[in-house]
Order: sequence, then structure tokens, then C-alpha cells
Amino acid sequence: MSRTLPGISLPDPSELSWADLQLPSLGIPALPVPDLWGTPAQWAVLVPLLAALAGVTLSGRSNRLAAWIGVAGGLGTLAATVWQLYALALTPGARRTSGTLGALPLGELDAPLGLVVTWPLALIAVTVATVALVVQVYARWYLWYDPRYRTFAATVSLFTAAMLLTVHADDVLLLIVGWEVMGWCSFLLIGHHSTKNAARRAASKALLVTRTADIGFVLGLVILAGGAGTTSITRIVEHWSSSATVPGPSTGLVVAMLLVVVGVAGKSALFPFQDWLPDAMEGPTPASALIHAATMVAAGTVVLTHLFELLAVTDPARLLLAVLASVTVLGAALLAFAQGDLKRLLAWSTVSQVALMLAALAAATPATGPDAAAQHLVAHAWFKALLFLSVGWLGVLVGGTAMALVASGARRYRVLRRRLAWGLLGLAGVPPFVGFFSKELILGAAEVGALTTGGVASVIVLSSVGAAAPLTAAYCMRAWLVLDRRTDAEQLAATYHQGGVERIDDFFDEPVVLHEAEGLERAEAAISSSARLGTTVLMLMTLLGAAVALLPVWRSDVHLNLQLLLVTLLLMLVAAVAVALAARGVRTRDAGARVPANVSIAAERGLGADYAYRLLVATPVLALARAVAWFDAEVLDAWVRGGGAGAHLLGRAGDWLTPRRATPALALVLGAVLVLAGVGVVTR
Amino acid sequence: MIRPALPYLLVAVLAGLGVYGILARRHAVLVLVGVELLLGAAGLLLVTVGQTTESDLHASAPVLTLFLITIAAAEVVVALAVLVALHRARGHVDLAADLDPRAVVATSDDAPGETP
Repeated sequence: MSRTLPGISLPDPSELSWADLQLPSLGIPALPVPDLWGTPAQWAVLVPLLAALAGVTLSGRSNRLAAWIGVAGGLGTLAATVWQLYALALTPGARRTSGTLGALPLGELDAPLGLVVTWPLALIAVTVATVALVVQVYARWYLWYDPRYRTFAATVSLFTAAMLLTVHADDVLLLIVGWEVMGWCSFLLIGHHSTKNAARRAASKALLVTRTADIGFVLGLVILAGGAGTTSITRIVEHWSSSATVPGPSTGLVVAMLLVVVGVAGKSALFPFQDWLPDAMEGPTPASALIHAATMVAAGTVVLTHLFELLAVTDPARLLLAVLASVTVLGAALLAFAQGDLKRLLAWSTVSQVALMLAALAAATPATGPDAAAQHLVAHAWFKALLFLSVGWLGVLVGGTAMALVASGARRYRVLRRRLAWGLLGLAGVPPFVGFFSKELILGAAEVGALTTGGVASVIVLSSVGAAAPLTAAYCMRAWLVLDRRTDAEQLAATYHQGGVERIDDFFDEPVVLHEAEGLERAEAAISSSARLGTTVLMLMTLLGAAVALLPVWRSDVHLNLQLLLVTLLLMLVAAVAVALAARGVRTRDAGARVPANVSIAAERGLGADYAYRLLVATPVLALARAVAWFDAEVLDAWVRGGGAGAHLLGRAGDWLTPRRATPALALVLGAVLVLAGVGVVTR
Repeated sequence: MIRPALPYLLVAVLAGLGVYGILARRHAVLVLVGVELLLGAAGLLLVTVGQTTESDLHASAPVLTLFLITIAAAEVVVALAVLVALHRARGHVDLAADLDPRAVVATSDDAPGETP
């Protein structure tokens, strides 16, 4: 149905595609860039690494110097990634490669240790660098009196370097290095308050859970690299794509990709591994923002983007990823709704959103490409970092992030109002914020996959993503209703001054105005101006990031389904209204309070995942370890002890047989030499 | 090429003298001399075999001999040090005496005077 009005020709909605929405491709002026040493990708990894080293070695006992090193490193990283964007825009083909240390001499295995950057990776790198910089600035304020701030700043720099290495790596060795360094740094960051038992436990749990899954990751990459005879990802993809012929992918590829998916599931907190992430909220807020917005949990998406062409042809791996991601998307969204703590709500929403990215990868076909996931990664980084940092700020002001404490926070502290609102709108995916575009693109990609060659994986993802949109809207609405509850003073004013009060003079006599002004002042005074500026940047990017989503650099052959889009928005609206209705009559306006208490408590405990880990993994492993220790002590050591006792007995016998005088003993020795010589001659 | 009979004979004589010294003498220094003779016989044997056989391992015999000489030199030092310590502890170096110190104590009133 084409509606053609006189003068205006609207595009047929059924033929609208993402390409029509995208911004026009503009020519970029060729600025005279000096011929710098190295490539931007190298600098993007090197600068934060050097900043981490300098932070550990040079800062001494000075927090101020450590902060300068960290922030300067962050600025340098950002400059390198922006320079990379520019360089990429000038590169025909939009793909740049560079080396690092030179090839490793590994015999038959070819290890070039290269870096690669394409448009999605470059945009992810800029996002990571920006979030890391804001986190550095914010941490200077948040951990002002922390005795271990210097370590924290250096760890954040190292973490950034590892993430950027993972983003740029064109070599599985570099990929594993970045991946593992991130794992260790997350242990340090989560366990930053190392005197708290809960923090230590959370850090160990994160490390153990992710490393358990890393077994699969490393094995999968070893199979891929070993089969291809090279560690270069480009060549691995070429090798295995050419070997995946008509009857389907080879067994080796299937096994390898299944293992890689398991590893990715661990790092990205997919279903069986999800419980480490909410516990990681024990870390300081800047660490949560860094780990859960742009870096570690998103690393799985980056890795699978690198390996996308292999994933797309390996249906079992896609199916596994689709099932795990769909279960996680829905389950985590439900759990987020039942949390009694705002920060834990955000943690569960991170689990859900990261699973959404991976679901997009599972649903995508070679025709649609992996760009929907990368785009959601970028969008998620903006709004989730903003939300974490704003909630951390609010937590400092009200003394905690429990729902009862943060109630009315956005009214009491007006400076936080827009930040929290925009963050939640982005998270819920309301137009025109970033989340809307990336989620619609994921839906569109899943729909295309489901309708064409995507198979059952795309169908699973399409249904779960569609169901997740109203759930996300529901918990965002719940958080907003609590935050935006009228303050007690406002409620009293509404109760006792019902109209009729006209006071145009004595403006500051109004208790509401005074209250608000006081709250504003407190909020402004609490935070440093640079940290506030950082959150402002994130807030603006939550809105302007939509322009990034519309840049003409993404692959955009996804059909835009207006009906699907409208239905999704309608579902979100219905969910939000339902939550608003449920919240009526609760003192804190918390719709989560309608959830039965035992369900709520179970949700806070992650539905007993901790218990399940202990029952299914920890207990058998410990039992096995005890069995091995018993075997070692009682069986293997028995031989060793028997050797000792036997030698003792032998010595006693020898002592008893040996002549008491030297000469006969020497005669025995000579006799023994003769016997040995005889043996030698006979057995010759 | 020299004829191997004479060197082999010399080896036999030296080895026999060494064995005799080790087995028959009681004085520790003379036993040590016997050991040295045995080592000398071994070195001579190595050199002789190395010179008289056609083999690719020409260098191994002289090298082993040099090794033997080095070890013998070190061994003499250690052995003489042991003998000095033995003499200080017991007042004699009679190897025919009982090695058990309690036995030495028991027979110390009649043993010490006699030296071989």
C-alpha cells in the first residue's frame, strides 16, 4: 500500500529498511596528520598498559599522581581510538591491520600476533576508551579516601588495555591474553575492598566461575588454531569456512565452536554461569560500571564477532548460544524485577542485556551480519555506565542503594533526575534513545534470520527478545517509579495545602523549594565537577549515541518491520502501565513489593544458583580432590615410605653382613668389581 | 702402531700390584698407593685401547684418561685428608683394626702401640 500524497512521497512502510534511516555518508576532509610512529590500534593497547605500569611504579604514595597518570592514560587511549576512527574513515575497504611483537617462532604453527580493526571494532574501542576514562575520573572522586586507590587506578588502566587488546586482536594468542588479563583484573576490582568477606567471596566466585568456563574457551581456540595451522583469526576463519562444505560443518568446527560458546557464556554470565555477576556488585561502583558496561561481560560478544563467520555456519553452536542466551534474557529480566536493591537490579539487567547481544549473534545469519550485536554493545555501554555511575552517586548521597533508601532520590536530588531518567529510558529501549535503535535492529535481524536461513535458533531468539522488551520496560518503570516518588515534604504539601495557596513573594519560604534547593546543593557538593562532567558526557551519549547507531558504517541489509516495531512499543507501554498500576498504594511506590516475600528473597539469592554451584560443582570437585589427596597420601606415599623402610632394613642387613675391618671390606669391593666385569663380559 | 702386548702386560702388572696393595697391606697410605696403581692401570688400559683399535671414537680414550687423572688427583687429596683425620681420631691408621669405635675403645690398651 503506497500512500502518495501530492508533493510528498512517503516510502512504502513494508519496504522500509535500515538503510533508509541511516545518515548520509559524508566525505571526510583529509587533515594533514603527521606521520606518527605505530598504528592507532597499537597505541590504543599500549597507552593504558603503560599507564598501568606507571601507576604501579611511579605514583608512590601519592593519590594525586596516581589519578593524573590514570586520567592521562585514559585521555591518551581515547585520543588513539578517535585517531583510529579517522584513519579508518580514510582507509579504502575500512579494514586496517598491524603487527605487534612480530611473529612467534612456533615451528609449524604460524603465530603472526596481528591486530585488526574494522568499523564495528573501532566504534567499540572508542566506547570502551570513553567509559574507561569516565570511570577513572569518577573513581578519583568515589575512592577519594580509599587507601588502595592507587592500585585501583592502575588496575582500571590494565583492564582497559586488556579489553582493547581483545577488541583489536587478530590472533587467538592475543585474544586469550586479553581475555585472561581481564579475568584477573576483574578479580582485583571486585575484591577491591579486600577486608570485606563478601567482597573477597564475590571476587573468588567471579574468578572461579569464569575460569571454569575458560577451559572451554581455550580448548575451543586451540582446536581452531591447531586445525588451521595458524593463530591468525582471519586465516582461521578462512581455513574453517573453506572446509565447511555442503554437507555441513566438520565435527572439529562444531566441537570447537561449542567450546568457545561455553567460554563466552562464562565470561558474559549466561545461564549456568550467571550468578557471579550480581555478586560482583560487592566491588566499588566505578569497577561495576567498567566491568558490566563496556568491558568484561561484553568481551564475549567481541570474540564471537571476530569468529562470526564460523559461528554462522555452525548450527549446533548457534542453537546452544540461542538457548542459553534466551533463557538468560528472560530469566534475568524477571529476576531484575524482583530485586530489592537498585544496584543488583542493574546487575541483573546487565545479565539480561549482555545475553541479548549474544542472542543477536546466535540469530544472525551470514546475510545479516553481526553488527546488531556490536551496536547493542555500544549502546549498552553508554546507558549502563551512566546508570551505574548515577546510582553510585545517589548511593553516596542516601547511604545505600536499597530500594527503600533510594526512594524519591530523583526528586530529592534534581541533578540526578535527568541522568537516571535517560539511562532508564535507554535501557528500556524507548525512542529516540540508543537502546531503541539497537534493540529494534536485533529484532529485525532475528526476524530476517527466522524468515530466511536462520533456522530454529533465530526463532528462539526472536521470541525471547520480543518477550524481553516488555519485561525490560517493566523493571525500568519500577525503578523509575521508586526513584521519582514524591518526597515526604511534597506529599505533606499535597495533603495539607490542597490549592488556594498563592504565595508569589517569599519564594524561599516554601518548604518544598527549600528542600529541593538543599537537596540540589548537597548533590552538587558531594561529587567532584570532573566526575559530574563524566556522567554528563555519558548522559548525552545515551541520546546522541543514536546517531552512532545510524552511521552509514554498519551493515544494514536488515528489513525494518514497522508492525513488529509498533507491537513491541505497545507491549512495552502495556507493561509500564501495569507496573504503574501495581505500584499504587505501596509506600515507596515499589511495584516489586507486590512480589511475594519468599519469591523476592529467592530472587535476591539468584534462585539458589549459589547452592546449585556448590551441590553440582564444588562438592564433587572437593570430593574428588580429597580422594586424590587420600590416594596420594595412602597409596603413592606408601610406596615411598616403604622405600624408606626397605632401605633401612637393607642397611641393617648390610651392616650385619659387613666385616668390621677395612681390608676384608675392600676385598669384597674388589670381588664385586670382578663380578660386575664378569656380568659385563657375559652379557656383551 | 705399537704392539699392544707390552702395554697390556704392564697394565696387568700394575693392576695386580694395586690389588695386592689394597688387599694385603694394613697401612692406609699404602692401601691408597694400591688404589692409585689400579687407577694408573685403568688409564694405561684406556690409552692403549684407544691407540690400538680402529674406531671413530679416537678422542674418547685420551679424554677419559685426562678425566681419570683429574679425578685421581682430587681423590688423593680427599683420601689423605681422611687419613689425617683418622690418625687424629685414633692415633693410628691401621686398616686391619676393627672399624667399630667401641671395639677400638675396648682394645685401645693393646692396639695403639703396634704399627705396620
